[in-house]
Amino acid sequence: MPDTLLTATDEDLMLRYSAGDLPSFRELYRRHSQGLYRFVAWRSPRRAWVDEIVQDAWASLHAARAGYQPQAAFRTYLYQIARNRLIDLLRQREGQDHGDAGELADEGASPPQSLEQKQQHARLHAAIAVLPVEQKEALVLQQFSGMSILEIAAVTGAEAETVKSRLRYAMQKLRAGLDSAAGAGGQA
Amino acid sequence: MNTHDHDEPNDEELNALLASLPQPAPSSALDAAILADAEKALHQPAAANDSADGVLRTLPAKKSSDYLQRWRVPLGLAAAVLLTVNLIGVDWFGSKPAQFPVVGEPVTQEVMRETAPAPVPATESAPPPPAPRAMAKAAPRPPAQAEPVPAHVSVPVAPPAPPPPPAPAAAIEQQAVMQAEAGLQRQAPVQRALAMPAPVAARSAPLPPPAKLDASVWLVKIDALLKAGEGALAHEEWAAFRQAYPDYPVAEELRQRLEKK
Repeated sequence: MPDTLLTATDEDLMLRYSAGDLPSFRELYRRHSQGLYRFVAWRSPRRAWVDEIVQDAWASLHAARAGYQPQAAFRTYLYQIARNRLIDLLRQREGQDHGDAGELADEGASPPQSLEQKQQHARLHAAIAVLPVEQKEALVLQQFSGMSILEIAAVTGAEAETVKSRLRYAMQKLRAGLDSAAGAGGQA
Repeated sequence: MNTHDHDEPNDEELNALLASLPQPAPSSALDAAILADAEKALHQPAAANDSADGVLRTLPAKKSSDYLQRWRVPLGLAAAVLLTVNLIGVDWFGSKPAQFPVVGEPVTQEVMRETAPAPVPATESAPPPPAPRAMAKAAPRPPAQAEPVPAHVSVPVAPPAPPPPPAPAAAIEQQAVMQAEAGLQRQAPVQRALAMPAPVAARSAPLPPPAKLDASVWLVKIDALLKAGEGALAHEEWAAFRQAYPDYPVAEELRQRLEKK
């Protein structure tokens, strides 16, 4: 891969891609495919919808490339597209059973884990699953997609202070959930 | 980038635990599909390969097409109506007043019934000359003559039922009128209708212009009046006849009898 692709910013790559440069798109995909997929996977109530939403988001990026303005950060732009697609899908399929949201912990490729680690991850996953949607979204964007407060605010359309509050409450609930689960496990 | 803007002292352990959480990842099949989609889209013509550009470029043309499509039917109807009125309506409306006699004449409906089914060219449906019509409308009527019935005209072939025997003068006068009617029945329906005596409604109107009968009929009527001993009335008729037909040749014998009295 040429050095110019590795050193170029996301915005430069997006402009080149808009002009028809396929390697620039490949580089953008390499940089952001994991984080975007995690965000959609944690937010989507069904595992079966994740691939569809992610593929639609990248296709939408292609369709909207002519209207891309380099003043906007590429990553927030991409995540907004995916988030809007997810919201549309949730509206379309409102009322359907979303009972498979707990599948995610077992899906990813992970290194071998000890029994204690597995138990901790299971408790943590259960605590994340019961978070309010806004808090879970902020937590996922920060912890699993590596976004800053301002980037999260840009993606979700909320104030930075609001995002901070959501993150604070989310962490408090996770700690409380883990502590109670650990206490219950210790008593048992 | 700061991913831990809200960190508290106890969050370090939780952050580490979150970072160690197994994460979902796109399958290689999904990666390949997305990259293939992008490559395929880039190689398609710019005008047709994506909806964002496509919307911007195709909307105006589509809008124009929709506009024409929306107005095509109303414009077509309006053009058809205009064409119909110009080609047919003007002639039809223009000939209408001439086809219908004056209100109150007994055969108005009959004329409409007879002429309506077959549209006639304007030249054929031209009104009859005004003189006979005026004569018939204002013809002096003898007091003893029965009212003409509209049904009589609508069935021109069947002669009217004979009235009860009238007085001698009335009988002669009625005979003259019947002769006139017989002549009229040979004319076209419209002309016949226009030449018929006016009904009550027409007679109750203000007196029409000078009365005119057909000259020969009129002379027969005058002769009958003379023979019936109605000299004064015959002279009035004679004076009116001379005004209407100053140059009409009159039998010498009748003229002498009129001038003698």
